[in-house]
Amino acid sequence: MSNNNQIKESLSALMDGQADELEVRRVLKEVSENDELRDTWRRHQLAASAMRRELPEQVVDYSSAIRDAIENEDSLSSQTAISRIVKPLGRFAVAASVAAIALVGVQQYNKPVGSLVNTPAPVAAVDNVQLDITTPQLRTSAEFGIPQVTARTVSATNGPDQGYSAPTAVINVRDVTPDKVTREQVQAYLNDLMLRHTENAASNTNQGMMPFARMPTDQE
Amino acid sequence: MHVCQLIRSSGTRIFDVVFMMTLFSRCFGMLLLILVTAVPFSPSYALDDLSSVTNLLKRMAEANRQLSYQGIFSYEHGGALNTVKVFHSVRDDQEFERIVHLNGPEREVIRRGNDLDCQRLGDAMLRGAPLGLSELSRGHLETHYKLYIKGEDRVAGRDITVVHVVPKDLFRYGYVLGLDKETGLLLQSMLIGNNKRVLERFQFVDITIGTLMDDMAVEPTNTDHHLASLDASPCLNAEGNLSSTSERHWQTTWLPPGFAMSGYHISHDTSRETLVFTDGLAVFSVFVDSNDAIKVPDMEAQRGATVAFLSRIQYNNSEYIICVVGEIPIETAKQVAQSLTPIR
Repeated sequence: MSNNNQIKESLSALMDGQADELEVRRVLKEVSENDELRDTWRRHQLAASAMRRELPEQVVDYSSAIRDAIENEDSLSSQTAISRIVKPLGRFAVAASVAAIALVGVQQYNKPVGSLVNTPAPVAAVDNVQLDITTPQLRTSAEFGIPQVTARTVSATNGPDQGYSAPTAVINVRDVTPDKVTREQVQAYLNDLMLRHTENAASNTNQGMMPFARMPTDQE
Repeated sequence: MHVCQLIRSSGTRIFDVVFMMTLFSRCFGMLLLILVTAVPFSPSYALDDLSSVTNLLKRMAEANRQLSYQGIFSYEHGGALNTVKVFHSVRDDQEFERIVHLNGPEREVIRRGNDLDCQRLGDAMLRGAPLGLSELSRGHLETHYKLYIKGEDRVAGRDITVVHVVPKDLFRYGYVLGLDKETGLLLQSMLIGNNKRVLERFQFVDITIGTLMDDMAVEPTNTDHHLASLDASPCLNAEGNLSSTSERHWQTTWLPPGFAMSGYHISHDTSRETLVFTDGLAVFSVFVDSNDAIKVPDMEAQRGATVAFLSRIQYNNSEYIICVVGEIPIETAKQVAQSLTPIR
């Protein structure tokens, strides 16, 4: 039942406000079909409220009553001619606005590349470049960081994620077609490539063994 | 753990469409940029200044390989500080090296048998040595970087000359190099991103140069050490060319100006082809994996100054993973990855 465990992980991620959009959708879909999950969700919420001391004196579950009420309600089958036309139009409008948002997002994503090749100005301006090395702004770990590990339980633990954590690499996945590949496998594959590259860099840059300081660890 | 946790952006298909739309404008911009950078370079400062900088770099290239030294240097990236111990010994015209990470997990790398006579393309470009390759003649580095002597400083208790290496385009990063005045050895190196940010910094804390070293100093102390491979870094032949290029199956149709292939390698089981490119200072590797045992998603990754751009392509009914890894801007890596085509 690894799938069930995964969905529970996502569920607790959602509780912590750490779930991404896809996860939210998946959780909502699963919860609507799975009574056990719905129970889990309720229990988690109860536990969270209890920890925040927000528990009401009496806990009443209205969900099944509400569901029954909705099911028994008279269906609005008497559609007029206008509503039959308007409804698809509304769908189209929603779809179009989603597409517009996606386009805006993509264009922003594209910006660095576009500005790289379309503006030769920096080439000319390079004469005046003064490297700002007196205040080197090394990035802090906060700016980096792999997306947080979302598998957190409701009970607060003093897990390792609360202590100091060294800055780790950024990985942006653009596509998720391949299934059943774990983050560890991806990281191991990348680490291998980076190590091979380090060997090439060490042989070609005349910095001796210095590039090997970049060697990734298995933990990263 | 599951893949969903890694997702940052979806909507790749729309991206493809937009990409096609911007392809034309990009190509035009690229052409423009190449034209601009191809304009002959006219130095605005005294010639002897330039030649003294190139002499410094040439001296550095020689010192880094020919001197024996041992010391401790720090490596800083993204707010993390690592300390590393290094031994470099030259015996019978061969380099023996050992590097030990002093903090974090135990890591040790050994490299041996690197022949001093072996000249690689990166060496040749840095030294300005005449090469068989027509476009890589003398003064190669100055075509793509501006070189300045920026004064003096002190590192590891030694006086250094500070050299700024500023790229003339956005395809590569800049460097600040601290060179030992007495020997020319590189004692400090910073990689500067396009936004003038310091991406990483190497700096010796303590170094002993030119003393006789115990042979044992370059022997591994950890059974779990990594033995560095030189497979993808062949020596240039007498004409300054890479020997034989017959087995290659992949080629780039675009390279950032000034970069050339310095080596290639095909793994024993022929599942991975490696191409290595350099402009004399920056190096990037292109890996083409036909082994589909691991289904890696398309992605971009960054660690310190090193980026990886990974994408999959279909060719002859097989799937290949193309990954460009190097200390270069991600846009450069992306364009190289997208330009890769099979040799028919």
